[in-house]
Amino acid sequence: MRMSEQESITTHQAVVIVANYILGVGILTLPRSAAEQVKTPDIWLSIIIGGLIAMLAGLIIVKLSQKFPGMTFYDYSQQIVGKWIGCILNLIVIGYFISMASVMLRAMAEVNTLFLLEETPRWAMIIAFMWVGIYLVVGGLSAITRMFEIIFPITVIIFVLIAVMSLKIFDINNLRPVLGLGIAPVLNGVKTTALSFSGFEIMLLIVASMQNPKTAQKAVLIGIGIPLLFYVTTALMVIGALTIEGVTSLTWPTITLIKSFEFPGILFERYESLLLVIWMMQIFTTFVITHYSAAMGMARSMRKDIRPFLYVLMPVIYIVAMLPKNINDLFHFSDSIGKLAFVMFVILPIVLLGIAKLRGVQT
Amino acid sequence: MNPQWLKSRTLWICGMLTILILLTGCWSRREIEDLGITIGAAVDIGKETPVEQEFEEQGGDYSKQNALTLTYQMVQPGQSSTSDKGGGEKNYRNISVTGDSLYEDTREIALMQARPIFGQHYKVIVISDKVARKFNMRLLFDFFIREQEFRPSCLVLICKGEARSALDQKDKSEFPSMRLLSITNNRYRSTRILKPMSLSKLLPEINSSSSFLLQNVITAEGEVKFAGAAVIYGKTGKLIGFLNEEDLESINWMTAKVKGGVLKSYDSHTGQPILYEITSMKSKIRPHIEGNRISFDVEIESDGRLGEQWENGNGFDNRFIRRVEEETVKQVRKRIDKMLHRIQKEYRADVIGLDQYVRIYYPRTWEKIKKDWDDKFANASIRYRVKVKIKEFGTTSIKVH
Repeated sequence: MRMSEQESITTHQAVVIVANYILGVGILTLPRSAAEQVKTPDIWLSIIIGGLIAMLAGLIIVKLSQKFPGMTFYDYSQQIVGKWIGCILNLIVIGYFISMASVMLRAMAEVNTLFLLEETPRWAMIIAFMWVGIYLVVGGLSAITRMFEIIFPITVIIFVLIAVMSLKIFDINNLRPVLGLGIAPVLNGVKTTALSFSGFEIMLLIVASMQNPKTAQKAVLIGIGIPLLFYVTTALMVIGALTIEGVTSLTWPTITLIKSFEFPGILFERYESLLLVIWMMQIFTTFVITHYSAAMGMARSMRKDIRPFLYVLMPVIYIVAMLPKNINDLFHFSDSIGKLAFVMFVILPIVLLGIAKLRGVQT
Repeated sequence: MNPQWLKSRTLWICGMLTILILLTGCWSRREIEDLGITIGAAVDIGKETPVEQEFEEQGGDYSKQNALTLTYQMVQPGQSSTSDKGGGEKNYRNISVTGDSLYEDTREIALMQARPIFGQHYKVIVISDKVARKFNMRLLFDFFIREQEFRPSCLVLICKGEARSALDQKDKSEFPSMRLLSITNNRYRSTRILKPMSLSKLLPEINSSSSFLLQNVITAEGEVKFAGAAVIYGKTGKLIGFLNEEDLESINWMTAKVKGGVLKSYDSHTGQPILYEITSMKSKIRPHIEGNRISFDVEIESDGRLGEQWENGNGFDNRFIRRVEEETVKQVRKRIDKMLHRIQKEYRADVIGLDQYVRIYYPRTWEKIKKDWDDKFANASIRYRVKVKIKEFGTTSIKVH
């Protein structure tokens, strides 16, 4: 498949894609999963360190992609490590994207069942979500990016609004002391927090479509920086209001935070619906981009048009999404995908970059 | 007219009509009139109401132990907006159910009412002191915190006596639950109100097994009053006793969780009351740990005005002002001493929240001692300094010529 002019994206768009992809389930669960590991109020430090690690990994990925201009990971993997190993790598990456899309769908359905649509069956929500998604992804990368550009500012505005409102129950003492038990607990949590930034791996694919691939470094740094800001703010607000002891026992701590305050006299109560709206949009962006990436992998490997693969993947993603038996299974599933992401997108790019340098592979 | 064109047009119209029908949203809608909007709950020791007993005589029974009685306060739709029109009609309704599972009790209401419980607008939960003495808070609140329909912003209160009675009142113009909630907004007028404890603030206390206070409510003849606080002991999670209004006031002085209020003292020469009104309050708490000895230094500073005097004394004279300040300090110290004796010696429970300061200033030591903190607290020495400054005395002052 040839990259048409229309499909090329600007640096600004690349930033939005990375940021939208990273923001996902993490906003609602990261405070808890990080608090479980860190056990001190310093989780915001863990998140910052995790973000820096993600930035480093993102830079390596960009470096790797820049060595092969106009080519995605699916194309150049075979050039670096040979046809067979390259093929296997592509399959793993495709599998990763499929699982990621499935986890997004299922998490969306779980939160919806609990907070919004109590009686709607999960399949109904998931299928509706998928069809809207396919409507977008058949339009190609440019349609996806334009959609992301609309969603992004809405997310920022609502998020800032909610963060300011939750200051009402914020207590700085809950965040003290800083580094009370030293740096060790902070490092304990870095593994979890770094994984919450998975999403920068999209640079493996989109650098090829960038109008100006030289600015990819900037794009990935800002693209990770924005979610970093979101995550740190969320963590500060949640811990500041609910304390570290409270957070560890809450399934969706951020939603509980929003439900914990009221502003009598303002038109409405129940501000959590606002948070759920932007969260749902973020889940949608993550879902479409992973769906598209998986289909793209198949199309590129077989050198065919992407559209049929988009449709073929729908039932696959649906089945994988329905596999976890309960919410704990879902969290475990998502954890293991995170571990896979660490191997595939932090360690592997370094190895590939090394091999490419040693063998002097050029396009 | 071209039949081909007609055919496609008919098809188009049919298609649009189908879409129109399919797109009418609100699939799982529930009309607001059909919701049993619930604004308060009360938990009492299980005692079946006469209605329930009669139901059971007629066979309306299921397997349960009558451990708890749960009372919900539901808004009566249609009447809530025209509250004074109905005359003797109440605009709320209390429904009591007895059982051993709070959730099952809640669902039992669906068997009796056209509108089942809808909990998104919860304002207060009142727990009877007898229940709090018998059950661990962790178990008691499990349902309220777990159920996603309930708001974590909901206020938690203890009622000495029957909790149900706090959700009832003579005055029909307002909702009893709303009144309880509104009283907590009066902290700018009284120092004897505890900082509101919502479900989301309760959760960390329960999880960390620390001792804490809950606002106590008492009732008499359909009226309510906030009266002191209930002491919940961390290790057992149960209620172990009460602090009276002055004890609660002293705790609020120590932690400076005061927005306004008055303090009455007696002039030691004349024995007449003098009233000090608080306009601002600050406190600084510093923990010290040397070996096994734990101590605290508390500095309390307050600005205010002379509110009332029952004796001769010239407010324009600084000597008199200073005397009033001294008397006020003396009174505060007396009350704080009494309060400290009660919580350190009698209850042996840190309900002031001093553990926060140890955690912040001595994080490593805190990890070691947090398990027995209440015992450590009971033996800690607490030094405090009170500074009171009278800035003014209102629009008049008695002048003696």
